[in-house]
Amino acid sequence: MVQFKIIRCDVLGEWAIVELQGELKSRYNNGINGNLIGDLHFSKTGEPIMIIGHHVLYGQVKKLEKPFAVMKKTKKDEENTKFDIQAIIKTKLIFSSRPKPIILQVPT
Amino acid sequence: MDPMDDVKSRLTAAKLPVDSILRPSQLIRFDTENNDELILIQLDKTTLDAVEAGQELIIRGMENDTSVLCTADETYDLKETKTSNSLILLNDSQLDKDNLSTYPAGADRVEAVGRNAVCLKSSYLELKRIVPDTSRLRELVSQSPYKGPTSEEDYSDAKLYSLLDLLDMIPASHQEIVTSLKELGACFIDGYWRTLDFEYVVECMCIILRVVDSESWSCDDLNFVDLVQKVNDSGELVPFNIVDHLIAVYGTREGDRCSFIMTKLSRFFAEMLLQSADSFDFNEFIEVWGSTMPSGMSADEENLAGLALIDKTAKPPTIKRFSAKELPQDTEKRFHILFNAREKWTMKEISPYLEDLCLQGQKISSILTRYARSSLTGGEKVYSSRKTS
Repeated sequence: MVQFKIIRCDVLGEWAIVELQGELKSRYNNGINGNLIGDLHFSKTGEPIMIIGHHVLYGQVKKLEKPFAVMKKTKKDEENTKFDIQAIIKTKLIFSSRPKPIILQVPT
Repeated sequence: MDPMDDVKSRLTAAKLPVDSILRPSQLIRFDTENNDELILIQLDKTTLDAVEAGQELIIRGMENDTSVLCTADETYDLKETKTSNSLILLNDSQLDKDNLSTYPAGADRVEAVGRNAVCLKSSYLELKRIVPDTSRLRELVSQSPYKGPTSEEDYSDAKLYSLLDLLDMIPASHQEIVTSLKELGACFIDGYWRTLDFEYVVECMCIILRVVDSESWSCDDLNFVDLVQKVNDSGELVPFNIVDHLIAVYGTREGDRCSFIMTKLSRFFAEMLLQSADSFDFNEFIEVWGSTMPSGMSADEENLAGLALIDKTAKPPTIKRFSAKELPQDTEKRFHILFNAREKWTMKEISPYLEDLCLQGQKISSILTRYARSSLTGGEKVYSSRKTS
């Protein structure tokens, strides 16, 4: 039986999740690292709005019933593989309604 | 071009006036580094509390490729769950409108900050609390049942197991293993956990009870130190730790005061008698059981729950040994054995044989609904096998 220990880091971050339906595709097909995803705005009533590519998405802030922990495997040496919990996620922004396309108006 | 102009123009294109949103806006960009090796694990309240308190969780991976996660006292099944959604992890963000401010009316310039998206995930580990599989535990601690100090030479080559050994082999939490050891009646002898051979238990119990009787002591009010002394003075040795163990199994102890618990003692006698033959005439059994026990104890059928099968439909009624402790942990297999032993069971009859399969808060009725078929017989609800053959 293999055993791995999981323990929190001294400093436990509080992270968040932005949940989008489907897959994100990079515009220039150059992978995701370093690329802008989109702009996150909040309406005055606290509703999150994202502008991604040519779409506007309206979402909700949701407190997670079951929070997530974010863990990373660390290997001290051959034997001591363990996982460090870097952060806990208790809230997410979920965008599940149909994105509205942005139609660019050409100035006349 | 000022990047803020980009944000502004995107806002304008989306027909969102600057003063209709809060500030600052947050521009989300993926980290330049690849952080794909991060793993998301979904927690429940217990595991979250444990993590936040700095307690260690342990993942135990078995040969059959399944894994469990253990806190100090609970075990969870671990499963990778995929989602068709994209989960973007932000390590720094502001999601609370109360921490954002408004723009003055007619504002024209956007304020924005950059936010880091650490990585994107489309799967996570899901936890489900389970009753751990401790069946191997029973096997291991019963490999070399203790028969007393004089029989130990028989075991000179035997493999014995310490708690640490067991923790390495059983996919369960520390506390659940300790609790199971107690339920198995295993004894801690010289650093190892072992069951006691039942004949040896009978021998020791008889010695102890004989002493209690000859000293005219009361089973429910004993002095532990005196007891151990008298038991060993009589020439028949029952080691201190064995007396201690037997008092813990069949009674209770606080400091020097200890006592036997009548129901447990009564069950011990029943168990002892049931070992001696395959089946008995029920009424004869009740008589013999009553007369074997110290005076003041009665032969109460209620105390046989989980120990024996009583068939009152037979002529004459019979009773035979059927121990809950010897049944398999696998639910399907257990029900197979139960329905083979008896076709129809009432809730009262079957409960002692299913109790250990329930998680705290789970009801036996939910297991029955899933694995058995219910019907009415003579006005009473009974459970039988779902299988027709």
